[in-house]
Amino acid sequence: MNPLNDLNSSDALNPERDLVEINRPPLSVNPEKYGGFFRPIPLWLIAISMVLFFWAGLYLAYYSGGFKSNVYNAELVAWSGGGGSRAAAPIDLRVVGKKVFAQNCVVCHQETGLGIAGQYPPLVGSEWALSQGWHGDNHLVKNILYGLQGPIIVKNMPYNNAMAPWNQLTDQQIAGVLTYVRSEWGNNGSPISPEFVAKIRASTPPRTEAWTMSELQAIPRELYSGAATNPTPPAK
Amino acid sequence: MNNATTLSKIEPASYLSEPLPLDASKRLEIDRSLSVPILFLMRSSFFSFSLALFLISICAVKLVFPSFLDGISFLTYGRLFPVAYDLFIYGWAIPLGFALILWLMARLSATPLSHIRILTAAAHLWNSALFLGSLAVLAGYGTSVIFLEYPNWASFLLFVSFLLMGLWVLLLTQERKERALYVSEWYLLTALCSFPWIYGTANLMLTWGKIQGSAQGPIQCWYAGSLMQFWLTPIALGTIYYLIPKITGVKIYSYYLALFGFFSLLLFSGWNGLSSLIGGAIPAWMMSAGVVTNIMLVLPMIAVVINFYWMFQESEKLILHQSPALRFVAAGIISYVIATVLSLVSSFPCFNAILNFTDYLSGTFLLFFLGFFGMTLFGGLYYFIPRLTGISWSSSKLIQFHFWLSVVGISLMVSSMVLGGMIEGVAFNDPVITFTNILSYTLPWNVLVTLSWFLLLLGFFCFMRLLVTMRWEMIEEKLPMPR
Repeated sequence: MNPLNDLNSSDALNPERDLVEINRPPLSVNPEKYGGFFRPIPLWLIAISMVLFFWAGLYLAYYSGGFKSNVYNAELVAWSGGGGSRAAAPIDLRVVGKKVFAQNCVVCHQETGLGIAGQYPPLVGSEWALSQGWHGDNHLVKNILYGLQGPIIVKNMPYNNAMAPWNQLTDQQIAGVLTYVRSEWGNNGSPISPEFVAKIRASTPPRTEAWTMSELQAIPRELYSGAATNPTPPAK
Repeated sequence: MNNATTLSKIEPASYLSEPLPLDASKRLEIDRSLSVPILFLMRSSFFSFSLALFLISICAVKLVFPSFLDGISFLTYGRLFPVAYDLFIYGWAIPLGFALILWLMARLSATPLSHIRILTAAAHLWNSALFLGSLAVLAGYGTSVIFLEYPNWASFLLFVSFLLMGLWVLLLTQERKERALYVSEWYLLTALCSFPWIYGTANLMLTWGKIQGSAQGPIQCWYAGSLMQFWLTPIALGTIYYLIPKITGVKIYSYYLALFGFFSLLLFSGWNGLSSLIGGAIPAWMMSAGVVTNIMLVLPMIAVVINFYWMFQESEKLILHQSPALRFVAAGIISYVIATVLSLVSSFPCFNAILNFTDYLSGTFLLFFLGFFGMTLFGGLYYFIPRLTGISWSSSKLIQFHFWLSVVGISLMVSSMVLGGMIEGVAFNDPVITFTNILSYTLPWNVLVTLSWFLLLLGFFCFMRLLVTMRWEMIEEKLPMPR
C-alpha cells in the first residue's frame, strides 16, 4: 500500500463503506446509534452569534443613513432622519500649509524653518514672517505671490538671493502655508485667512519682476486682523 | 499502512482488474465515466496556473525594476496584471473547481456521468474563449473592470460554456441513485448554481450592457466578494468535508454545526465585497451592510473550523502525519482562519481608512485565494489524481517540496504584503509624506513579494514534475490514455 495515495485509508480498507453511508442523517433510525453525530452547536458559539447579531443590528441602525439611497455619509444625518445638524469639519489651514510647505519651501527654508546661514534666511522668529517693524501682513502675501530678489536684511543678517514667485498656489494654500509658518517652531503669529490673500492678490497689479526690499518698504504696512497688536517674538 | 516509508507503486493493473466488491466496481465505473472531462479540465487548469504564475512573476519584477521589459505594449503592467489574475480565476480556479464538483457529485450520488462529449466540448469552448479573451486583453481590448477584463464576446462565451458544463452536473444530481445529500454536496451545488448568477449579473451590468456610472463600483465589488464567498469558499469547504472523513474514517463531528456553518455562509456572502467601498460615493447602507457582513463571516468560519478540528482530534494521528492530502488541507484551513480575521480587521471603518487601497487588501485576497482555496484544492488533487489515473505518486520528496515551497511562499508573500500595506496606509494618511516617498517605503516589501512568487512557481514545478512522471508511467504501462 502506498501512503502517498491515502490508500491506507477507509477508502481502500473498507471499500464498501461510503461517505454518504457513514454520514447519512439518521432520520428514521435510533439516534443512539449515531453517537456524537448529532452533537448540538456549542453554547459559546450561540452566545457569540447572539452578541454579533445584536451588534450588527445596532450598527446597521446607526450607520445606514436611514437606508436612503441619497445619503452617502451616515455621520452627517441622524438615523432618525431629522438630523443633519453636524456640518462637515472646517478645513484646518495648518494641515494644508504643512503639506504646501513640505512640497515647496523645505528646499531653501529647510524643515526646521532655520534656512541656511548666509544663503537662505530663517523663518523662525523672522520679523518678515511675523510682520514686525515695518513689515506687514500685506508684504508677506505679496512676497509669496511674486517672489523676492536682491539684498535683504533678516534678523540683522544680510542675505542676497532670489525667491521664486508662488502665484500659482490657491488663496487657501497661501493662507495655509503662511498660517503654518507663523505658528510653527515656536512662532506665534496670528493666522492669515484665504479672504485676506484674495484681497491682496486682487489689489496688487500683476508683475513679472520679483519684489525688492526697497519696493516693499515703500508700500504702507497693513495687518490682516485690523488690530495692530504686534506679535511677540518667540521666547527662545 | 504497515510500511509508511516504502514508496512501492500499487500495481496499476491489479488495482483496476481485481475482482472488487460490487460497490468498488461501481465506483470504478463512475471514475471511468469521469476521467476524460476531468483530466482535460485539470490539464488545462494546470497550464493556465503555470502561465498565470509566470506572468504575475513578471509583474512583480516590474514593480521592483520599472524598466524591465519596458516599451513592449502587450507586456506592460496594466495588461499583464489583469491577464494573470484572470488566468488565475477563469483559467485555474473555475475549471479546477468545476472538475472537483464533477468528481465529487458523481461519487457522492453514486451515479456515472452521461453526456461526456457535450461536457468536454463545452470545456473546449471555455478554453478557447479564455485564450482569445486573454489575447484581446493583451492587445489592449480589456474592459478594465477588475476580474471582468475580458471583452463582452469572450465573457459571453465563457458564460455559455459554463452553462453547458454545469447543466450535466445538475442532471446527474437529479438522476442520482443515492438520494441523501451529503454536506459536501450542499456546498458544491451552491457554487455550481451561484457562478452563472453572479457572473451573468455582473457582466450584464458591466460589460454586455453598461449600467449608469455610480452603480458600477458597487456591482464590481459585489462580484469580487461573491466570487470569493460563492465560488472559492464553498468548493474548498466541500472538498474538505469530503476528504477528512474519507481519509480518516471519522464521522462529521456535528451535523447541526455543519448546517449552521452552511446557512450562515449563505446568509452573509455576497454583501461582503461592499466593504471595500467604505468612504466612497455610494449610499451609506451599502457600506454598513458590507462592514456588518464581513464581520459576521467569522461565524461560518468558526463553525466549520470547530467541525474540522474535532474530526482531526478523533482520527488516528498516524494518518494525519502520512497523508499528503490532509497536510495540504490543514494548511488551507489555517489560511482560511487567518484570511477571515485579516478581512474582518480591514472592514472596521477606522482601520479601513488606513488600509484601503494598500497591499494589505491584496495580501488578504491572495491568502484566501492561494492559501485557502489553492492549498485545499491541491490536497484534493493529491487524493483524486491517483484514483483517476490508477497510478500512484512517484515521490514523497517532491510532494514535500511542493508543500513547503507553497507554505513558505504564501506566508512570505502575505506577511510582507500585510506589513508593507500597513506602512503604506499610515504613510498615505500623513499629508507631509509625498507619493514618491511612499513608493520607496514599499520597495523592500515588493522585493519579498517577487521572491515569494518565484518560490510558488518552483513549488508548482515540483507538482508538474510528479504529473509528468505519472504520464510516462501511463505510457509504459499502456494504460488506456485519457484524452
